[in-house]
Amino acid sequence: MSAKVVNAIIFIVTLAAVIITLFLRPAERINLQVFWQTSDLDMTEKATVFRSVTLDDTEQTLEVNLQGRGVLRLRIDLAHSGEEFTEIRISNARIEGMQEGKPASVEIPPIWYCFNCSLVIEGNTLRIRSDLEDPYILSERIPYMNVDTLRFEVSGVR
Amino acid sequence: MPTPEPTPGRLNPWRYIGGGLVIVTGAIVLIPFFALSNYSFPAADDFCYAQNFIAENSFLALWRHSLNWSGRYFSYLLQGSYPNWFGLFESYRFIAPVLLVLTYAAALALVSQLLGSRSSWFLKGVLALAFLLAYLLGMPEPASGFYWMAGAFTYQVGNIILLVVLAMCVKSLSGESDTGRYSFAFFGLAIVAGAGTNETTMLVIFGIMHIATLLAWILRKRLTPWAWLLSLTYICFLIVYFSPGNESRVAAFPNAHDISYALARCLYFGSVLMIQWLEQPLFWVYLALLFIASVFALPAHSLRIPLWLILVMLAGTLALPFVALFPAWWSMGGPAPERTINVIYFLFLLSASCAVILSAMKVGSYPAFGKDGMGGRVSFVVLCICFSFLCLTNPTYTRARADWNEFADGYRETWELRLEMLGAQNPEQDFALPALPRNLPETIHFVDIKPDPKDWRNECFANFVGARSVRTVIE
Repeated sequence: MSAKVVNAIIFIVTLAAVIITLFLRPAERINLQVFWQTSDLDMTEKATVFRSVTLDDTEQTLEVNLQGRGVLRLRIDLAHSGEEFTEIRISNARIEGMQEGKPASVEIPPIWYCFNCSLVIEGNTLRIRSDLEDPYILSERIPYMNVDTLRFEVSGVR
Repeated sequence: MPTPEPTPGRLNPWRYIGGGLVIVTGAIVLIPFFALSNYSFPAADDFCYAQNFIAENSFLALWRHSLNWSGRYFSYLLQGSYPNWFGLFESYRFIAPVLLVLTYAAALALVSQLLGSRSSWFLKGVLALAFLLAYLLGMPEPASGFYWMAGAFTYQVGNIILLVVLAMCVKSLSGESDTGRYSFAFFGLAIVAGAGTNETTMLVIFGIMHIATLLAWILRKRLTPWAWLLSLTYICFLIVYFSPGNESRVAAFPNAHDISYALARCLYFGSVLMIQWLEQPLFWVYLALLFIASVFALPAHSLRIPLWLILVMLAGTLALPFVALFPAWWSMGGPAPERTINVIYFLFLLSASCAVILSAMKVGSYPAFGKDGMGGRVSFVVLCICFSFLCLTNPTYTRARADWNEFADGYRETWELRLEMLGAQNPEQDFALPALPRNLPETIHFVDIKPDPKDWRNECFANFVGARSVRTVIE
């Protein structure tokens, strides 16, 4: 390896670093803390970080379907979200409800970087669909229950 | 005409300009992280561990912890003792700054050993700072890494000790004369402490000590001290691994010890982590800066680094996210918490850094290379500018600054109100404490007590402050 080759390596490394700096943007995680209750359909808590995202809670629907091996489907309609996410993450999720006539609650394990989740923004609607068909994560953790409350945080990585 | 041999580590203004820029950037970036430590408060396990050490003899508490939960003897000793020595609320704000400084010092020790004593201290200091910034701004959750005591003492202290162990290995293996007995005694203490912080660090130290002993044998070093150190490593490993409490912990996780499940999840989540980290521009530019700066800083010796060693190091780096996840999935049957991911990212960054320094050694070992050429100087300064730009626009730094300026005051005011309420009334009663504000300083906040007084976090807090129960209410 001659001095010319080594200098070429240094040049290429520097050029690559400059290109990376100029064109590769760091992932930006946006947390939306959501508190949802079936009783009054009020989104009572919301917070945004990193960027100022205004979420009007004029309309929201949510489906929780804990079938057999634990399929959780969430659909959250947030007006004027104006954000596009490539990945989402659902964390600090907790389901509270009735099970066999008694109050019960279950903490949902973190759903990491939910690449398999589909996320669609149509107009002012943000839809998150998480088909958790991994039996290891949810089947033994979430028994059937009548759900009253679901709390969770959603992180979107742009 | 032969190329004049450059003086190793000699600095010219270009290098001062580039290095100075990184130092100024480091100071700017670190200011909010240091400032935020003034707003940090204990959470969850902090109260439990402190209370355990108040309630009974330290060693008895340690033994009970080993029987009931885990064998992390050193981190548990720190978590239990620190509040009793210095006061939990009074001294909590010192934890993050001390660990940030210690991380820098340990990184500097390792960089110094890797680049050799003849290299420029200025450049070594700049590289250690760049490592600290790359870690702090790339780690998934600074809150549980530096600001939450239980997480910091279990994981970040482990990271720091790992750097020290590595530095000691390099020092002992690369020195012309054998290392003195006091150095080996310190080395042994570092192994004992590091292996007792958390399982991931313990396993890494276990692996490193085997490789180091093998290298000592190949390099014809005196093997007696290495045999002692390896024996010590095995003893620590056995203490942690066969701690009776591990069984109790496994019983708390339904999918624990399912080998096929653990392997499948490690493959999936390892790829997730890998993609996430490799997409970070700061990671790549840090490595580029490290490469060029190492080439500058290395003395003009003729140390021949074989290509296979660099390739093995690179392969090890790429395998790390998969391999290091395994202990968590195996023992818990679930995803590793963010604080464990912090450690895995630390190991990933460290391993990648070592691979880059080895590559620089290979390039730098050719005497024909004109290290002091104008192109090299310009490259170094350009990389310093890129690195500084990425640090100052990094989301973690932006978030820390916003936390400091906008959210930290309200957070602290609520905590001070809570403590005022607890101090003003007869402690042995039920307390309804104000909930924390909705906008939390996420850089420092880990978790809070809950509205349910029966939650284990609430019970630990109540025990610690001497209340019958505590709960939060939204005012």
